[in-house]
Amino acid sequence: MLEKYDLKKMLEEIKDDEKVEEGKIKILSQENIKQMVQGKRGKGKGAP
Amino acid sequence: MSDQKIRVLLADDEGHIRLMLKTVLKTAGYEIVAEAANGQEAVDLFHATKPDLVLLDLNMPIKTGIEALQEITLSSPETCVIMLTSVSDMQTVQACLDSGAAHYVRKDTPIAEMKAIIAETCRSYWQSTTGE
Repeated sequence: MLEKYDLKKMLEEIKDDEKVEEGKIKILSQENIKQMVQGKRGKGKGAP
Repeated sequence: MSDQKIRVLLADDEGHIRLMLKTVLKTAGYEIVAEAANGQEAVDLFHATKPDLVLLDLNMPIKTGIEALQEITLSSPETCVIMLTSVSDMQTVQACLDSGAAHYVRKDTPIAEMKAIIAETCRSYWQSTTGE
């Protein structure tokens, strides 16, 4: 079934996508998200 | 809150995800009070059941998770809403946190870690909203 797909071409397309999106979309890991949440909680302290 | 079970509303358009979450949460001592398969149903069931905690998927039909989140947090800021989704780009995460989500959990997070995040989020969210 995999023969139907040109894996080399697919990988190149993925790399191209990354180039296009570089600096625009950042996919976050759960650890990154945790840090964002903690940062927000820190900022929120004392807020009305 | 500590003597009572935390009452949970689950919202996800995929039945198998709801089943998985229901099983995980029940074994961890939570009470599932309602399940929604779309964003509008989540908002309606939220008003009908007044849960303590809402687990909300992002991509749902009729009304998206972020729209449901905004309605829920606007009417009930003390409700802890955790987004549970496979989308994790920075803009989306930021938009959800800005709209009042207490946390944001990727669906591919290991079960044990997911349970720990939910428990810790509830604890710190209610501590901050009650001013303790």
